[in-house]
Amino acid sequence: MRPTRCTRAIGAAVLVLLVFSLVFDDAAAYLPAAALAFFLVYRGILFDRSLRTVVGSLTVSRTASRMILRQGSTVDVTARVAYHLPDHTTLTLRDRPPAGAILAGGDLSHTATEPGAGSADVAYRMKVMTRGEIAFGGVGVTLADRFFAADIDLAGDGRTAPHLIVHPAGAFEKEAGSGSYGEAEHRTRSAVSGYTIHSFREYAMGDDPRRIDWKLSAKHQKLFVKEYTGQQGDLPLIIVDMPERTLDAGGAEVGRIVSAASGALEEAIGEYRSVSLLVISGGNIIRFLESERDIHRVMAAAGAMEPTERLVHFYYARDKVGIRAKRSRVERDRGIAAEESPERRFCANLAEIYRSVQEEQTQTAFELQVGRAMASTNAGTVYIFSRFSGDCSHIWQIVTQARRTQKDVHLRVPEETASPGMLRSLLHAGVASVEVI
Amino acid sequence: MREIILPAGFVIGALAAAAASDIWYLTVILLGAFVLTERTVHGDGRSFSLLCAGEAVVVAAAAAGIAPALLLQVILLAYFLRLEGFLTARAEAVGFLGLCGAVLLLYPMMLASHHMLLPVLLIGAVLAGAYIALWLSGHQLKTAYSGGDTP
Repeated sequence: MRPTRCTRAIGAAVLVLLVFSLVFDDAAAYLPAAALAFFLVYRGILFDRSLRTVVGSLTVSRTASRMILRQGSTVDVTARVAYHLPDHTTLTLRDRPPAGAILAGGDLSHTATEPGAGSADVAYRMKVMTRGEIAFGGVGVTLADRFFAADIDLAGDGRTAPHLIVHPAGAFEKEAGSGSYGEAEHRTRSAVSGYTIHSFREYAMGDDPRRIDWKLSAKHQKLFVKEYTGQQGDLPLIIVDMPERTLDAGGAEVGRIVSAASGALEEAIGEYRSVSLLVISGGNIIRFLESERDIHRVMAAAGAMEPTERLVHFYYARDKVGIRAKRSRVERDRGIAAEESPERRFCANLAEIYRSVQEEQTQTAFELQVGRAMASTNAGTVYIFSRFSGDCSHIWQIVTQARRTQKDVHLRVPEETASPGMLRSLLHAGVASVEVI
Repeated sequence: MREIILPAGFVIGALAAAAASDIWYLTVILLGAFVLTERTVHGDGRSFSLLCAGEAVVVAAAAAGIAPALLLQVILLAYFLRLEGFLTARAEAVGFLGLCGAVLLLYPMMLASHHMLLPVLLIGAVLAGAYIALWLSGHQLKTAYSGGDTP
């Protein structure tokens, strides 16, 4: 329970009058001080009773559009809260989503002033970022009258129901055929793409749902997508890397990236009659438009680009090529260092660490998806629009894959984040061009 | 019509107290300030401004006698609560009568005590005790209802 501004002012008046009566030994000042003190106690007792009435009468019935979902997907939640509100009080209810959930729409709170029995529907949409069996946080209640206010979180008595089961969005992909028998579907990165099916593979996050083969999926009880063959060309693949929304809502540079990418998309579709767009945020695929011919769809996708939440983080992880290069450099240094010297021991330990990392490192889902995107679009040139700040591991993974398949990589950096040092390091990464936008 | 009963009663009571006081002019001046506040101040701070102006009149009236000051104090609190929108239901009136009883209890206590030290300490103890009791009550409520049933 906390006092309002009015109560604090009355309390200050009580204090002044009490000090006055004590210093001057004056009963005249004591009388209103004592009366006001009793008044505050009286209001405090009444408020406590009101709070107990509200809390005791409050019931919550919550429904979620889906109980079993995948990490990062959205759920519509409706919480119906019934209560009894005493006179002259204001009640603010806040539904508390599970820990780690992000509000994607709607309003979590509801304010009631009408006394008596009432109910409120709190409807919102949230994005679930945690995994496992998760519960709601309960209901937050703020009750206030003219003299006092109190906050209380109610979490017991089924107020955290229902529990959602969230399956993780995997960061790593199982190696094809590395398990036991039965994994006969073999993925082949094709340099060509078109309109004839040349193979099937298991569905991976980011794949176009239109490519799902429903007959095969029904037969094997898991989703399979079609791989096409055919069309040759030198189409550009435009990759737009959006920043993480929870850490940085983005500023002018995000607008600049989107604007420049939109211009590039428009130009590409005008020149090549089709364009491929891959929207990523760190190591997360947000959207993939494969050889899209409809300019309206391309522009709609460009307009929807915004900072987003990241489910997968690479934490400055190096790819296999980078680790191998580091290891060979360390092993070379070890060969140069003197026998039994501390430098030699250090290099030996470091080389051992790199070797272990290299052995254990598995291919990430992101790497695989980007590889498929590059192969399916038959892109000859890759344009990357990014801020190139913070963790750029995903960018280096894309650059490595593009170089491995002999594609030219062009980097586009917004003016706000570009610095001479950064541009130098980007140019040293072996890309065809770096341009400030 | 009913709205002016309480301020009118307060003004009449204050004038009656002033008539019996040696410093009647001070009571009248402060009463004038109260009436002026009542007529001119509007908006969110009106009730609190009137409470402050009224308390000054109560202090001046207490110089004439404890009993009329207690009466004025009760009327002032009732007027303050009415301005805040309270005292509209019978249950609230009953609660307010309890408060009036507690305020009137001050009368014998003030007659009995010749110095203010003990009464001031007593009010301090009442406030501290009430604060602790209300804090414990709130804590008990939070503990009883915050128990999570998370898996």
